[in-house]
Parts: sequence; structure tokens; C-alpha cells
Amino acid sequence: MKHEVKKITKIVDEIMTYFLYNHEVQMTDVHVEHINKAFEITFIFHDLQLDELEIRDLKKNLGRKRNPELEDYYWQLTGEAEESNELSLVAMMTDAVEFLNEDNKVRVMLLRKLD
Amino acid sequence: MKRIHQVYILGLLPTLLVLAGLAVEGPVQAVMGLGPIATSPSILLHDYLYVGGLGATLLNAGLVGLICCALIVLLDIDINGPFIAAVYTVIGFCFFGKNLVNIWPIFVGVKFFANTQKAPFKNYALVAFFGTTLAPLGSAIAFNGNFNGVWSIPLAVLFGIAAGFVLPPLASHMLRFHDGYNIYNIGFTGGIIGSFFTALLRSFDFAVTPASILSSEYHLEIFVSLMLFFTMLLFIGLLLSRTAEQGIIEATKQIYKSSGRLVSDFTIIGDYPSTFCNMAVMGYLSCLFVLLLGGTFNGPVVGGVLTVVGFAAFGKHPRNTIPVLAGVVIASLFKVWEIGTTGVVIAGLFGTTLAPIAGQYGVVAGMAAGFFHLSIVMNVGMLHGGVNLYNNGFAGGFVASFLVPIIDAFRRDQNR
Repeated sequence: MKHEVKKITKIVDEIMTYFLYNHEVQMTDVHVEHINKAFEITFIFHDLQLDELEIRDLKKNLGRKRNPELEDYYWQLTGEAEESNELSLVAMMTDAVEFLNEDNKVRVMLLRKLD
Repeated sequence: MKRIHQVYILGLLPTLLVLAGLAVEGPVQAVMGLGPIATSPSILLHDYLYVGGLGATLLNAGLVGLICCALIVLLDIDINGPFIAAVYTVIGFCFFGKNLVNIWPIFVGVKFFANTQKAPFKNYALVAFFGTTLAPLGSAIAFNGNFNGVWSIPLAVLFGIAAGFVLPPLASHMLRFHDGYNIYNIGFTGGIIGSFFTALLRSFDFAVTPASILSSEYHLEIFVSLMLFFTMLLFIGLLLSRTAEQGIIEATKQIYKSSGRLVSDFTIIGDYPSTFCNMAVMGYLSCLFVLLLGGTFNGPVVGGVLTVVGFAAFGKHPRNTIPVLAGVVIASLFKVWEIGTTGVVIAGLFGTTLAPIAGQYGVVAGMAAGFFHLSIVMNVGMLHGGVNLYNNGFAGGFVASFLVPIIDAFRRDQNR
């Protein structure tokens, strides 16, 4: 798969844009790790509590399965818009997502396997 | 929703078209009419209803639609919003430009590209389907009368394959030009590629000029058939919604809340039943638009209607398309083009490629997009000489890339 590094940076861009744009986030940790033919990306947004509706929407949008039929064509749009978030693009580029909102922190973990 | 049911519903339109094509003038007449269609130059605007007759045109559209459905099934591709839009768009343009012969070089070109990337063809199938916008490139070379003799066919195939080969990387790259605000992105890409190849051909004294061959013979029959089909879609959507996880009203609200900017898959944002209902509603709306403008249901207009219906699964809904349609109508009242002509009617229908501007920035921005779109679309066709069927997608790319940064600059202070 080509443009792997760029795709990872665009995924980070999209998630960061969503949380920074929609919430008053003061501090964020981003951890990107390349292990076992996969990229693991972890975000921790501190001092943030989401309501049930937003959590449901986030899980719905990020929980879609990876879609290589669309990824190769549309990946360049990821992270490009400021207002209309495109979390579905992140979902079509990732194999697994974990989402936690506890202790006043939001933790998003994404896994992208390499071919 | 089970995949088999998705396949049946996607295959419904092409199957009905094949049956209608064989029945309306008889199988012999329909098959005989495929010849003139296949050997037509097919550049904008060659109405196949005029070239081959009603039966042959319906048969052509149905068979090409079934080929697309078969590829989706064989390649095990998810039937989602983008692919519903692609199949309906291909079928729509089989009324004026795509046929059983000229789509193949594009598919082969995309397949060659996939091979060079060591990726399966299914990863580029969407580009291949939409990429048949450049199908007339081969037809124009083979049948436009510029070249005679044995070399015209191989040259046509070569150009078609070359166009298909360069489409995937360019289509992905061109998205950044308009940031997804022009839904017919491959129309924009096709316009760039078509202009490139047409300039090349013209430099060797090869004439590529748009035509205007239109039928007005089947207005009522087509209108009634379309209305019946949209009612069928509405009925299917409502029937399926009875067993859906969320109610049809709630799912439709989710669709209407979407800006429509790429990538807005309504089968996921809403669900399948609400998507089919939205497709039916957009079909009614498109037909109403044609009638209000005093237009005629000919090949290009049917293509416009079916494309809007397809993209009602992938970005278009009444809230974001009506402002654009209104903008085109207002423009036609003040500009040199007569309202009700096929050019203006299809500029309106296909102009809804700019629906995400209305969805994101509101009614006034959407109307401005429609207003400017009419002028741009009437002027960019000469660049590619009509070999790019999605001329409105080409124009839409320019309008979106011009308007969005300006609107954004003036809205920035009001937002974060």
C-alpha cells in the first residue's frame, strides 16, 4: 500500500480537527506506534466529558469496517475540511477502534494494519 | 439488510430497462438499434433515443447496468452509497454517450493501473465505473470520420485504455482541488484528461467538436415510466423500513442533516430504507424541475434525472439540492440561454453536483453556486470537445474551487 505515512498523518489530522474544533480541549496526547506490520494510534483528550448522543455518533462513525474499495480513491480528503468532519474516512482506513470516555478523559485508539 | 436483497434492488432498474427495451419495439428492432448506438461518435450531446430508437436505448442502458451489477457481485464489492450512485450514473449516461462497446477500454485501462500497483481491481472499481465518463474518447476517434481505415479502431482502443490508466491517481489527487464540494469529482478529472487528449488530437488536425443531436419523440412515455419507477423505489423503501433498526423519520433526518460533502454515504448516515426513499423523492423533484422549466424528457435529461437519483444515495437530498436548482433557474432568467432548453435543464440537474456548498454554507451560497455554474458549464465544454460526458462535474470543480475559499474566508470570523 502506498502513501502509508501520509495516510497516518491524515488520520491524526482528522481526529485532532474533530476534537479541537468541537470542544474546548486544553491538552492532548498523541501516540503513534509502528509495530507488527500495523500502526497503532492513540489519542488522549484531557478534561473532556462527552454526552451520550455524541458518544453514540462517534462510535457509529468510527466503528464502520475498513473499506479498501473507497480508501484508495478518497483517502486524500481526510483531514481537509475544518467544519464538516469526515470521521467516516478514518473508519474506512482503519481496522479497529476502541473508544473510552472515563475519568474526565476521552481515549481513542485506532489500529491500521499494513498489507 | 441482506446482501442478496441489496443486489436485487440494485439490479431492479437495469432488469426493467432490458425487459422494456425488448418489449417496446420488439427484440429484433431493439438489437438492430444497438449497432448505430455502438458506432456513434457519442460525444456530447448524442441522444441515443434519436440515434438508435427507444427500444435499443433502453436495452443498451439495461445491459450496461447489468454488467456493472455483475462486476459488483463477482468482485464481492459492498453495495453502498458510492456504488449505487455509480451504477445509476452509468445507466443514465447510457442514454447519451456510454454503450456496450465504448466502456471497455476504460475498464481495461483502470485494470492495468491496478496491476501496476499490485492491488485488486475492486479497489479501483468505483473509479472505473465513474471513469466511463471518457468512453466517448474512443468512439470519437473511431467513428467521428477523421480517421478512415484499419488504424482508427486500434487507435481508439489505445486512447481509451490510456485514459483509464491515468484516471485513478488523477481522480484521487483532484479531490483536493475542490475539497469534496464537487460531488462529480471524476467529471472534473475527466475534463482535465479529456482536455489534454483533445488538445493532443487537435494538434494533429483531428476535429473534436461537440454536437447537439436530440430526440423529443418519447417525452410522455419516459416521464410516466420514471414516475412509476420512483414510486416503486419509494414503496420498497417504506416496506423495508418496517423491519429497520431505526425509524424512517429518524434515519431521513440524519440524511438531511448531512452537508453532502464527499464522502457522504447515506446508506450509513441513514440506512438503506431511508436512502431508497430519498432516491425516490429526488426522482420526483428532478422530474418536477424538468416540467416546471418546460423541458423535454430526452436522453440527456433522463441521464440527468437518473444521476441525481443515484447520488441521492451519496450526497444529495432536497435540502442541499433545491438552492442549487433555484440558482440555475434564476441565472437562466437573466442570461443568454433560454429556460426550458435541454442545455439549461441538464445544467440544473447535473449542477446539483454543487449540493454540498448549499449543505455546508446555506441557501444563499447554494443559489450562488447554481447561478455561476450555468455560465461556467456553458463555456468549458469546448476544452474537451465533448469527450468528457460529465461536463457539469468539470464545471462544478471550477465553481467549487472558486467559491468555497471565498465563502470560507468571510465566515471564518464567525466560527472557530
